[in-house]
Amino acid sequence: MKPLEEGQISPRQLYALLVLSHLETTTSVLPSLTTAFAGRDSWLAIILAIIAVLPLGFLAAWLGTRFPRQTIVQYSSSLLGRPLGFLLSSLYIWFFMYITALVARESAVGFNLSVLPQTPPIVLIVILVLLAAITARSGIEVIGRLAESSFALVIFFTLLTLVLPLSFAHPEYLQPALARGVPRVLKAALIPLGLLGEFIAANMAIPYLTKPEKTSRTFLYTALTSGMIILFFTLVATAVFGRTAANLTIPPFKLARMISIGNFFERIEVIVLAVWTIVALIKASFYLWIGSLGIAQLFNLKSYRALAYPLGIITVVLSILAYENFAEAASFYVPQTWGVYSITIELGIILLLVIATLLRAKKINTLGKIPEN
Amino acid sequence: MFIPWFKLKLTALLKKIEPKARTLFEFGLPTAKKTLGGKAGRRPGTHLKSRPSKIILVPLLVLLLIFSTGCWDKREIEDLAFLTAWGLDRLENDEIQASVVIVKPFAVAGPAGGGAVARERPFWLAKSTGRTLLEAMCNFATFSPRFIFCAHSRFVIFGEETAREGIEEMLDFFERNREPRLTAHIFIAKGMTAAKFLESEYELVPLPPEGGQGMLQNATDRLGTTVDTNINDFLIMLEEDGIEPVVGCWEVISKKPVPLKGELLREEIIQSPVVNGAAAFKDDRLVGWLSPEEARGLQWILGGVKSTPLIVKNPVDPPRLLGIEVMRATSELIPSIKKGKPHIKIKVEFEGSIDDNQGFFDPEKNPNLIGKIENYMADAVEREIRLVLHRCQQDLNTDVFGFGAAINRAYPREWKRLKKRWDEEFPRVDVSVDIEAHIRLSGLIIKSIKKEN
Repeated sequence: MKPLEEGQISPRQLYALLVLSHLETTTSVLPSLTTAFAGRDSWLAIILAIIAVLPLGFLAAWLGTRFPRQTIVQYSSSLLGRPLGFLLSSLYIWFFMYITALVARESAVGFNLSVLPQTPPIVLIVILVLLAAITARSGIEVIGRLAESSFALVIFFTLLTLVLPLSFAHPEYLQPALARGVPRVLKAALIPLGLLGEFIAANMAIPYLTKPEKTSRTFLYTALTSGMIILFFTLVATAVFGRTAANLTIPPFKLARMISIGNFFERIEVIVLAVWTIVALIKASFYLWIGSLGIAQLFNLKSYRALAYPLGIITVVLSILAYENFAEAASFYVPQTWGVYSITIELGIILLLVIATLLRAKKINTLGKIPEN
Repeated sequence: MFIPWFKLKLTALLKKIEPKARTLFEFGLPTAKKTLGGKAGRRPGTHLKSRPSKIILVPLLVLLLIFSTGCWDKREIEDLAFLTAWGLDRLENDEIQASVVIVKPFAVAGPAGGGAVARERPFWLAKSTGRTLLEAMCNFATFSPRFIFCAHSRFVIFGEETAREGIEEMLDFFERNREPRLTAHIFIAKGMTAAKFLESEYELVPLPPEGGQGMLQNATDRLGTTVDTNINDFLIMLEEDGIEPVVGCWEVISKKPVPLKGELLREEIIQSPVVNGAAAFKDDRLVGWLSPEEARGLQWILGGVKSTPLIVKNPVDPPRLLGIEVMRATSELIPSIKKGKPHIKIKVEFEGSIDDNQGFFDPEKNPNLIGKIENYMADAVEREIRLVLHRCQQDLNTDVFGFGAAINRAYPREWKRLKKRWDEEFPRVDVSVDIEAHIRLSGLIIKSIKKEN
């Protein structure tokens, strides 16, 4: 049988893809989520999250290199047996499909709050998801190249919105450290940890890597780059807005609005919107691709491309159903809900598969097939 | 079997165009892939061979053009009225009055061809009221032909009465609304309403916000006798523990128009603003004024002096004065707790150069002279610091210096105890001042021309 996905991506493309996927959340809601809980200590929470995500990254990379020709959906059913593997793969697919819906909603809300207040959110959601579905249909190769080619521009714009407001920064607002206690910091660390852990999405793309042996290195670089960007965002937001940072809905936009150099170079917050558009498209198309390919492999379909549009429609509906108003969203994006949910799924899936691999180490070869005789 | 005529036609039509439609819509689908195994010679992306037909693509692109301009949120620049300054007052019936300065672009540009034509005032002063600031802003729609666009606002001015009653409820709008910027400067109009303040005009500059910007920059860069607070700073000082907001204080002086002879064009400016010290807040309420001297004292403590003239006695020619231009002032607050009592050490360090001398002065013959002048400078600065400390600790009891915040940073545990009774504790905070003044340069000459008498 013909393989479902024929494209190939380089480790660098995977790296760009993962970093930009993380960046989507970083440039929309993340900085205020951590500051809401840890206040000025949120930078500590983020450092904790970076350290904590590394073991998860190594486990996921180990799994990927152990089965270099298979996706997580394929080897989970050969490792755990059909019923349990089916359940685990569905959970994995559901997780990323739901994040796609949230991404669509987040970006629509962001646009509504910032520059397009009158545009119905459904229009923005549909445009994004339609584009994402078209991209997802085109395969991992297109998505990878999209990420690679926009990487430098997006990172440059992001850094611009981070460096220029520094003239308003008061570093003294970062002190005193740990005044509100360690538990709050630990709790706040769950949110960035959940976000960084999203790189298990790559376990779907590892078999299409040109150099699968570089997976763990790619994961390490991803965790460090994304972690540094989140850290920098949080530090700047805290230094510029002090305690009011915890209260902002979209801190990066507010940060870019502070930019004013000599009363001349200002009003450049629109570049934040440009970044949102690009990274939301990349993240949504990558995760939609995961969803379509995963389902196609789960049910042994001949092609996954036919699934992109139906999944897109489901995503649109999900994104509208995700939350009713800002208060619901605020009670959803808290460590004890979103943080625990995402970490449980990410860590649960990977740990279960790693344990199963170790237990059945002798029975399975690297292709994930149990030998016949 | 009965088939309606239109259905017949439709099926016929569909049958007719079907093969064409197939070729039209079959794009994006991959053609059969031939070389899968050979990775080395494979060019990535070759499996996407088929292209969308041009007949489809061109109308799609045209459609895209139509939709990419945006339908719901388009705003033409011709339909916008650019608000550049706000004056906010609370009226007696508890409504909020927003007085705004709106630029008239056609009047700024001036008449084509130039010449001595009677020129229109380049701004429009409009007033509107409402129960909340949003309502007041929307009520402009009842008489403004253009949409009031706030993203270019530079100043937010509060009347004295309003500031004494508290301004936080109006500031929420600036934080929450997507148009106004947090970088807009706040100041208080002393002894009048903000609406009255906005009626003043500036010399040299036709547009009030530009005039205000220039004055503010001059006053902070050359004089240091006021403070420049933007909305973001104000909100942070409001939110942080152990620091209270302080903003600039502006007054208006009335001028009797004096006819000047020999000029072709003379606009009569009846009243124009002056920068005059600062306004100290407690929470979001104005509690008192700081004189220009006290405001500079505050700036010494906060390290906000960029450049300022410091006048001291001439040590060799006593009644005469010596003018020193101060530059590069830095400060540091060093808190300590002794037996449960907070203590603050203010460390100020600055440099100056002699710029102006009324009496005799010869540093070459008198090596101690520079040291003496430096001591005088330190004394002068300490006097100002003591003035503002006394004013804020004893008279107003408001911690505009951020002593509490400094203690919080260094001693978070003790601060938790002190925080609850900071109002009683703050006036009793023991403050020591440590000033280091340096003279590095003496201007373009060394000695004075004057002879020793």
